[in-house]
Amino acid sequence: MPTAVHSWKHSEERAPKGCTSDAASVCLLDDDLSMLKALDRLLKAEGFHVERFSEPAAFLSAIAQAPCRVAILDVWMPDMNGLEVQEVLRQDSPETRIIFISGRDDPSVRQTALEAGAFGFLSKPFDDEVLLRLVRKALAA
Amino acid sequence: MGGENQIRTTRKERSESVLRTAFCVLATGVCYYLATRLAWKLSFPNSQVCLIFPPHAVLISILLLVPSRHWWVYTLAAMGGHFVAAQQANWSLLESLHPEAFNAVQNLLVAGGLRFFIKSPLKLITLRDAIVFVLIAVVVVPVGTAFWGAAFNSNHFGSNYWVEWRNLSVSNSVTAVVFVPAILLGVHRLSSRRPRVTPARLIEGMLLGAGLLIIGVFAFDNRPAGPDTSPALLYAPIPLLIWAALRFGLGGASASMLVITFLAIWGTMHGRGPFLMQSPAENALDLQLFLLVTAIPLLFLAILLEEEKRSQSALRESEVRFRNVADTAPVLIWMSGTNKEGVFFNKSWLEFTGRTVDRELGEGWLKGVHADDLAHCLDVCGTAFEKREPFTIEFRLRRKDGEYRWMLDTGTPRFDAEGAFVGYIGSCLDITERRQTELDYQVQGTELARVGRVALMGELAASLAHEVNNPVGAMVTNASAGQRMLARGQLKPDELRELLSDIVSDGHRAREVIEGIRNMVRKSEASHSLVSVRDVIRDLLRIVRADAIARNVSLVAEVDENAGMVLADRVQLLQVLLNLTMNAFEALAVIRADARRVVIRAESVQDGKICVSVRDTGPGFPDGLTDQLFEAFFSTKVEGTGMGLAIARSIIEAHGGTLSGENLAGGGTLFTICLPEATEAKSQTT
Repeated sequence: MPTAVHSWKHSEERAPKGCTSDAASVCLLDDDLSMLKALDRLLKAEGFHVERFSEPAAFLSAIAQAPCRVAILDVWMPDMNGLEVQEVLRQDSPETRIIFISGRDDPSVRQTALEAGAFGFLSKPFDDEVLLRLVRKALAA
Repeated sequence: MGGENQIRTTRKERSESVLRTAFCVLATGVCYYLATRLAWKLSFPNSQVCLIFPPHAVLISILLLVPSRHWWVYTLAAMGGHFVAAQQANWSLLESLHPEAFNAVQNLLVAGGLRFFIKSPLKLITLRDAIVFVLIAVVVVPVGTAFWGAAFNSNHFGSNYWVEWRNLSVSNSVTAVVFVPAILLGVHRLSSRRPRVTPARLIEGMLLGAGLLIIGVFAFDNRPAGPDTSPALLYAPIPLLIWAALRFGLGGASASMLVITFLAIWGTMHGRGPFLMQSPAENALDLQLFLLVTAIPLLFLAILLEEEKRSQSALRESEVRFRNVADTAPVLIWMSGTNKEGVFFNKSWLEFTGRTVDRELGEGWLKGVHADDLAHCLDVCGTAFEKREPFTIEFRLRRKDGEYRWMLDTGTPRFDAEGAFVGYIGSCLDITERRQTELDYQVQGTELARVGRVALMGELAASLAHEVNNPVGAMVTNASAGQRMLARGQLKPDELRELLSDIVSDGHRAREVIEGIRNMVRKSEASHSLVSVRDVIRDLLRIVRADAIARNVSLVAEVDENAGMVLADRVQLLQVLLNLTMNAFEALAVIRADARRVVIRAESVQDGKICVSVRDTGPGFPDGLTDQLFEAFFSTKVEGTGMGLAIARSIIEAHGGTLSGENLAGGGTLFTICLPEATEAKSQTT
């Protein structure tokens, strides 16, 4: 189980679009592109404003400029995993609500994530209604 | 106590033997006396010449039958017998002494010579024996001693020396050749226990005897001799003598010769038969020469015929013995002739196939050979046959219950005494069980490899599930999004098209992962085909990618452009790489996350090999364990079964390659697989 904090490089380039402090702003981070696309469709269909990221580094640098209200994070990613991103976010952007989605069913990861303050933890494939409810709750909080 | 008994019995035995010897000696004297009287009867009325002298034959035979150390006693007895007869005929002392001495010396010489040169004087067995006998008893001794005897006789009777010499030598020769074999064989026959004669043989013997008597009388006793007595009569007994030699051996020949001799002498003595033309001396000579010339070849003939019969019966016996062995042996034995045709099949073969020997002879046995093996069988047998070489072949033969059994057939060429090729002889062994075991062994090997793969897949289960969950999750999310968009009337056809196509491609992605798993755990026989090393590594990465991420391992593949194809079982090769990679992952667990690195490298090396190596930056394995790593049941892991590397090595070696492992100087471990590179051409030959 990953515990060490991976020191990520600050990406020099700006994020494609800065997150606005729009209430309906959700950020997505998943290295699986088709999952990213599907989530984007789902959330946009419900009227949320969505920002997509497939690299943790790009995501974190964009967040630094303009934080998101809700971040949906994949756990298992090559350079930096979701928990590590959570660590960074806790320090740099504590107000962001984090919802984890994971392709692996790992109870210890779930526990760690929730203890570290995650708003929710879902396993892929998940029920879309459950995710949307979580997102609405997180935005409202 | 025992010693005394022994002494007593020995003394008793000795006294018994002395009595026996005394009796024999006495009998000898008596026989000699009687024989001397007979000899004198068988002489021409107005002549001194004894046609034959049976006493010589008697003494020679007796000497040959008793131990040498008793010879002096028997010789004295014989001389005594002669003396008595001479006294009765009113010979003077001097007159009788000389012949006695002469006879004694001559007989001792013959007996001594025969005993020295012939192993078993009792029975003349081989041609060599016959030649020695004739040389000593019929030629050398009679002729040699005649020089001495003739001197005395010519002195005493005033006759020509050479005539006396001639008479003496011929007379003694005839005596020896006619009487000695007959007496010796007669004694042998009487003393040995022979099987009872069959009635047929008895009748034949009687017919022969009757024939001899009739012919003999007709030839020698019929008319008084004269100008019209045909010499052809001399030949009349010959066919009967030959018949006797052929059917009754030396014994029969000798006995027949004896009969003819007596009839000839009797007839001639009484002025009948074909020998009375000139003076009595010349008549005697003619008769003697006739007897000599008939008896000696007959002796040789009889012995040769017996030798022939013996070798025939030895051959027959050995044939019978071979047949017995062949029929009782548990293996199937066959023989073929000079044209590859089957000429003999033993009992085991016939029982195995359940066919009669007639159906198997010639090419009939080929009908039992399995159709698929027939061509190969004929090919191998034929080639070996042309070269007259031994061969070994495996083929299926139908058993009598219809089942085809695998047979191991070994054939060797046979040659006769002159070195001419006479065919093949071979044996077949039922090796069905053995082959089955080999097959089972192979299957077990394959099973074991599969179990290894299943175990690996088990270790990867969580990662593989992740690989499936991602596309499935995307599919579900896409479909839900589509539903929602439809509900809001927001779905444009283009968007729908894209959404559906995304779902389809994710579905394929999931399928691929599941197929990959299924291929790894499927039960299948190893099949070798041309496999691209690059493709296998790509499959490997696909399977372990998720696990590498989960373990924070940086996984890199470096595939050279010249790393081409190998001839291998794709699944097994993947299994080995998987095993090495998983081992590397586990070794890295104790290393800090940012230093975990695995490099998979594929390159072509010299001698036409392709090597794939898996390098990790782990702590390495303990020194000195390099060889043990690949042993079955050896593991450095706490929960390891120890089978992975053992299976991996056996797989690679079955592919004709090598698998080795070493610790690296800079830290970490390197495992290398090397396999021969394959080209299109190579794959087509297998």
